[in-house]
Amino acid sequence: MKTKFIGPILIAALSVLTFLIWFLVRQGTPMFADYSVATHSLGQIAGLIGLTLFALTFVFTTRLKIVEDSFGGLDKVYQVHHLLGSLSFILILFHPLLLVIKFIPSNWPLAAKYLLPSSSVAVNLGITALLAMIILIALTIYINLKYETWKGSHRLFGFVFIIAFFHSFMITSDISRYNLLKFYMLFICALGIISFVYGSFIRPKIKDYPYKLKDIKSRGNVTILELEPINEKIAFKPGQFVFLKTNPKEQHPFTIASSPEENNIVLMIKSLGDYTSKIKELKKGTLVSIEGPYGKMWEELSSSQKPQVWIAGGIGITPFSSFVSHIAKTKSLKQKIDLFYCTSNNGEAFLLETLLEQAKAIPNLRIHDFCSADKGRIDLQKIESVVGKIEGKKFVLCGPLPMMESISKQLKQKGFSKNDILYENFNLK
Amino acid sequence: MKIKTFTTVALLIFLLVSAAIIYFGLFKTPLQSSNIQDNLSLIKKDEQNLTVTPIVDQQPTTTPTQTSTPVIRPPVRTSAS
Repeated sequence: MKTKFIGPILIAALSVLTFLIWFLVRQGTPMFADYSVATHSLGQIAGLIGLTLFALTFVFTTRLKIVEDSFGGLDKVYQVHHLLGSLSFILILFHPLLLVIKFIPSNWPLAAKYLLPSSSVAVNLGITALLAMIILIALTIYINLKYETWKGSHRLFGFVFIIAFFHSFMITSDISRYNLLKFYMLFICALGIISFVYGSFIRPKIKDYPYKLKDIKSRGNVTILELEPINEKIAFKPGQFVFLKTNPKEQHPFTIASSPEENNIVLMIKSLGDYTSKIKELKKGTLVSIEGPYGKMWEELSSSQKPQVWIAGGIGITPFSSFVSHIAKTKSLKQKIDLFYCTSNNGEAFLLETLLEQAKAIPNLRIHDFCSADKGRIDLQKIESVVGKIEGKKFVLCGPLPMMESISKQLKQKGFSKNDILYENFNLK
Repeated sequence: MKIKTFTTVALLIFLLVSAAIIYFGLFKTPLQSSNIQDNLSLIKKDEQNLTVTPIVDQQPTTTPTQTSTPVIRPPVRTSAS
């Protein structure tokens, strides 16, 4: 079994286990006997599974290698993190509603009482956690905050989880009644709190590699940084990405464009937002730190024996630059490769000459300059007209999300499986 | 996109249902407002403040035994013939 399936299986198993333990401890008591008992039970289940998934979302923010391996890449980890975050939020929303709905229609005031602050500290903690969660989720999905503001607000989820933990263990419920459920939920919550503390406060201090900005160049709206290690050089595989920190508060992911054989690392950054637009103002000699490396593209493509089609869109050329440089030095990939370097105009393909020079040492690699101003948008027909039959090939994509989604959709319509379409989604926000 | 839609729908359901519960619980049935205990204690206070005139029970201490007498009704004509 591929390791990338371990993560999703573990999540499903823990969610089911939460339900099974609740079901086990409730044996001998009515669970779904009538409307009142059934809605109360569903409320408890929603709360328990919601809290379990909420705890697991923090495990994904640890960026531990074991977590990345379990999902097949950090980008996949963050996709699951988004999904679980939303799912846990929905379950937690329905937890109080299902608990009070049993009082309706016979006793509306009592139902309202449980949804409003009262003299019970435990109930008030639950209401506080829920309101804070609603505000933070609204900020996350409805408002386009600056990356660092968003990140700061996202970190508050950890404190919301701690409040929710105290609510769960202070209130009279199945957790307080049954020891097995209590210890199991204690383990789950401890996992969440430890992961939050590690991911937010410990990892940023221990996993950073100090580097010095040796050189900085601009090519149009792309800034090229050459970074020299101050102490230990980061060990990475071709095409992996790192988080660059030019100040203690900000960190952004960028793919390494150079090969692992070189001492310095090269990052190519396109001006797309506030941070990336200011990066060109950095001065030579500036101390920065990098965290990583992350990403599984090289492992995936080097393990396949199929001929490959690589499609790079604009700045998406960076991982392929690393692959080509690495293959030219090590002769490590023997499969036939067609690399399409897609740009919107001729001046944008600033790496073309370097790649063509390196490709001379790689007989199995062909590079195709694809300028959409001359040839229109890239699609499978145009690719087939260059490489011939595409069936049986593996596709590796990197570039703007609409381009990757469009090619991926066309490939799926042609019957390609997910395993033959490889791309990373950098939308970590 | 799908996740965002599901989350939005769930959030709307939560807001609408909880707003309805609070509205009907607090305002539509004011005598049974959110804190029943508070209302009960208010009622008790009101009772204490009232000047109560004792009602003298004038009922006889022994209830006379009633004997039922059969009532003989006249035959009812069902038709005009």
